[in-house]
Parts: sequence; structure tokens; C-alpha cells
Amino acid sequence: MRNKDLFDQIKRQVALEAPDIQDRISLDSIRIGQRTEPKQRRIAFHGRLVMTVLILALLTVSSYFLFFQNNNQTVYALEGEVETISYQVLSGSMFLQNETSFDSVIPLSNVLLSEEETYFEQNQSLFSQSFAVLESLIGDRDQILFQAVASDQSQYQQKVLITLKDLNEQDVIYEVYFNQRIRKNVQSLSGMVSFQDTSFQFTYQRLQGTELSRIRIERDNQAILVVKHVTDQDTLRFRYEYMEGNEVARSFFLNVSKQDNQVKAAMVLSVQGKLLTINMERRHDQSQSSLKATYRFLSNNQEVESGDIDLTSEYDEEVQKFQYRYQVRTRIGNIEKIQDIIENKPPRGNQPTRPNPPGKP
Amino acid sequence: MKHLDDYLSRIEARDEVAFQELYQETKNGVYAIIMAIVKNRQTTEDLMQDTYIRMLEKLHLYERGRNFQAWLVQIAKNIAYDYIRKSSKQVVLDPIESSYVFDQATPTEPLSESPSMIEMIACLDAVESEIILLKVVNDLPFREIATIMNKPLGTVLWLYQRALKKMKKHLEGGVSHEK
Repeated sequence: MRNKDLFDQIKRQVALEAPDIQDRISLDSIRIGQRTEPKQRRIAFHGRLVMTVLILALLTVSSYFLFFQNNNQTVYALEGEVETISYQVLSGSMFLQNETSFDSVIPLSNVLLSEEETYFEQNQSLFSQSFAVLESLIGDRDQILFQAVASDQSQYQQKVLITLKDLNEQDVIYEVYFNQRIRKNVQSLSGMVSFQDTSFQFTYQRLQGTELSRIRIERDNQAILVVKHVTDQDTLRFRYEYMEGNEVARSFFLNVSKQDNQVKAAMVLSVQGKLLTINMERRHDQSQSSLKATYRFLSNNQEVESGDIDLTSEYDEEVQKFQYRYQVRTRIGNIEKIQDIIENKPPRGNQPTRPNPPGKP
Repeated sequence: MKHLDDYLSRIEARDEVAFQELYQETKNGVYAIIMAIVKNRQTTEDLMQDTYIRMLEKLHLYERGRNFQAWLVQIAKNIAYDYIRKSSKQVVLDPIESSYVFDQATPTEPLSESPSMIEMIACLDAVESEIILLKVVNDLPFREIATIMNKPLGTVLWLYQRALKKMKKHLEGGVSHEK
């Protein structure tokens, strides 16, 4: 049974049972609590003088903080070190699970634009896999939860449980284990994230300067992805570098921001005069969740193509797969192209709450 | 839940229509939480009435912009537990009362396929039931639920996951109920 089916069943039953007793309540017979405006107290001249001086002093101090200290007042999408590290480790590992898709996309400089296919069509796997990773890492901030819990693995001291909501409104849970070390006043971590079919080791090192920290995600003692925390102003900014030996083979930036309690993300890929930006956010309309994305592909600062993507997902019981529906509106100059693309995906991840396909244990 | 605040100024001006609309939007959550605690249909109706009256009387204490549904459900929960304390006898599921629930079902839905809410959550303890209903029916964020339940967020999440597993097993195994 899927969570959604269970929730629907409960909601349906409650709606059926909940009585209409509002007619028993007459507003005329109730003393409704009215909000009262705070009474203005009369202040003597002496008091007003003191208050004026205090206000002027307060304004002076706040102006100083506004102009000279504003970087300390920023509220980021993620709170604290545990959340920021866990977010990078998890997103990096999830990108690695889908690493093959990036092989077909980068370098951007080799992109051949044709009249037959749009940039989106040629690189649908990049969009598809990026959405697959980020669909649960963006959205309502209250639905992105990080909890430090007791470790149940003897080789690790700490455990962080990360609970997210995917496009199907299912809770998905990931576990990150780590040990903490401090040597010569430098903090470092080493740990592990496991998925159903694979696991990744990681090390974290806190740094100083423009690079605030560095996470190396490894398999078989080989660094395969390095995530650098390079936040500079008011948006969290991470740089993901895919390694081939000691060389960076390809990279991109991920900017994570928060607006009205909604976490949003922007992926930025840039190679030799080519720039691709994908902005992503989650929306929730009438019990269905969707991912809205806008993208722009520039070459030498000239827009080549842009578009809007509306992604929704449903479980198709016929084929026992998640069906992802992309409604894409592409713009190339004055030409607009609208596409409706369906993609079937098997259940993903290591989520214990992921529904089993019907008929399977 | 911000839009629920829109009704409040109209209700303060004694707009009955605004109250009716607010009631329709919030009644499921209020019903579910009270019914889960007192497990009696008639008592639930009475306590729902008390809940909405107290909400109206205390409306000036609600801070606009906060989560109105969470505030209302907290009132409902307090009233339900006050009732349990005062009634000094153990509240059990009354078979006659619970059968009334089934009488409300539409004829198109066979009773055997539609267990009551109480039957659905029968496998859960009191705390798990409240967490599930606050999440599923009231659609409250976990942080808000943790505040209402006066429990750490981690505990709430863990209980929620455990309750979901129990319910699935319970419902997939087929809920038996007697009319």
C-alpha cells in the first residue's frame, strides 16, 4: 500500500464521518474575542526627549550593522553545519547514482544545435536526472528534516536521518553515518551514505577562505566527486566536481536559496562560453505536487534557447513504474515549441517507505 | 493555512457565512483529533461545538499569520482531554455509538470495504493516532506537530514512521469490524 493511498483512505473516511454541527452555533449568542489596539500612553515632555534620544541612538547602531555587518544577518536555506554538510553529502551521492547521464551532456562546448532537435531534447537525460535528485531536496522547508540520532553502526559515532518528500508526496529517508575528528584545531569528518545497491564513503574537511569546506565522496578509495562549499553572499553555493583520476572532468554549481519557507535550487553549468542555468522549485496545487523549472542556454552571452518545464509524477499500476510527465515549452528566438513527454521510471533510492509495486513484497 | 486568517476579521464582524466556510475547511481535522481521543460519536459532536465556541471566545488570543489550524486543533485536544479527566470513567468504544458512524456511510460504499476512522487507527496507541491525524488530516508540518505533542521532532518523526508501518500492515491484513 502506498502512503498516498493510505492518506486518501483516511481523509475520505474522516470527511464522511465529520458532522455538520455549525448550525448549533450562533455568533449572536457568543462573546467573540475582539482584538484590541494597544492603548497609547501619554508621555511627558521629559519622557519624549529621552525616547527621541534612544531612537536616534538605535537608528545609528542599526545603520552601522546594516551597512557594515550585513553579511552576519543572512538567513540561509539550511541551518547549521550538520544540515549543510548532510545536504552536500546526500546530494553529491545522489548525483553519483545518476552519473552516467552527465557523460552524455558535458562538455557543453560540444553541443551541436540542429533544427531537428532542441537543446532540451538532446539533453533530456541531464534534466531528467537532475530533477530526480533535486525533486526531494527542494520544496517546503518544513518537509526537509535533518535529525541527529543515536548511531546503530558500531564503526560510526554519529548518525543523521534525513527525511524528504518526493514528487509523489512520499516520505523518503536517507541515513548518513560519520565519525568526527579534530586534529591540530582542524575539524574533519569521515562517514558513509548507503543506498539499496551501493554505498559511498565521504570525508569532510573544514577550510578557511573562499572555500569554506570540501567533501570528497569516494568509492573503492577513489575520489569520484568533490563538493566544495563556496557560499559567498546570501545564497548557499556548492561546486560539484567529477573526478577522473586527479583531474576535474566536469563540474557545476548548485545554488540553494529559501523564499517564503520554500527551498529552491539553481544548477549552473558553464564551459567555454556556453552557459546553462536551470532554476527549480516545487509547487503544490490541489493535492498534486509538481516541479517547475525554467532553463536558459547561452552561447557567448547570447540566448540560444530557453524554456519552462512542468514535471509531475504518478505511479502507473499497469506498468508498475513511476510515470513522470514533462510538459515542456521551449523558446528558440521567436519560435515556440510545446511538448508533452512521458517517462517511466522504476522505484528509486533506499527509501524504506517507498511503496512496493502492487503484487510484490 | 494562511488563507484561514482571511475569515477571522469577517467572523469578528459576526459574518455567519465566514464562520460556515471556516467550519467546513477545518471540521475534518477537529473531528478526527477529538474522535481519536474520546472514541464516541455523540461526545465528539458536543466537544466540537465546545471547541468552536471556545475558539470564537478566544479569537483575540490567536496571533495572525501563525498556523490557525494548529491553534484550533490544540484547543480541540485540550477540550477532549479535559472531558476525559472530568468524566473519571474509562472511555471505551461503544458498539451502539460506533454503529452510528456506519449509518452515515453512503449506500454505494459497502460497509466491509469502508472501515471507520477508529477502526483504521485501532492498531495505534494514543500518541501515534494523534500524530497520524495531525499530519494526514490536518496537514500540519512536523515541527508544528512536535510543538502540539510537546515532544522532540525526532521522536515525532520516528513515531510517525512506526505508525505508518503499523497501519499499512493493519489495513492490508483486512480490518474486521462488527456492526
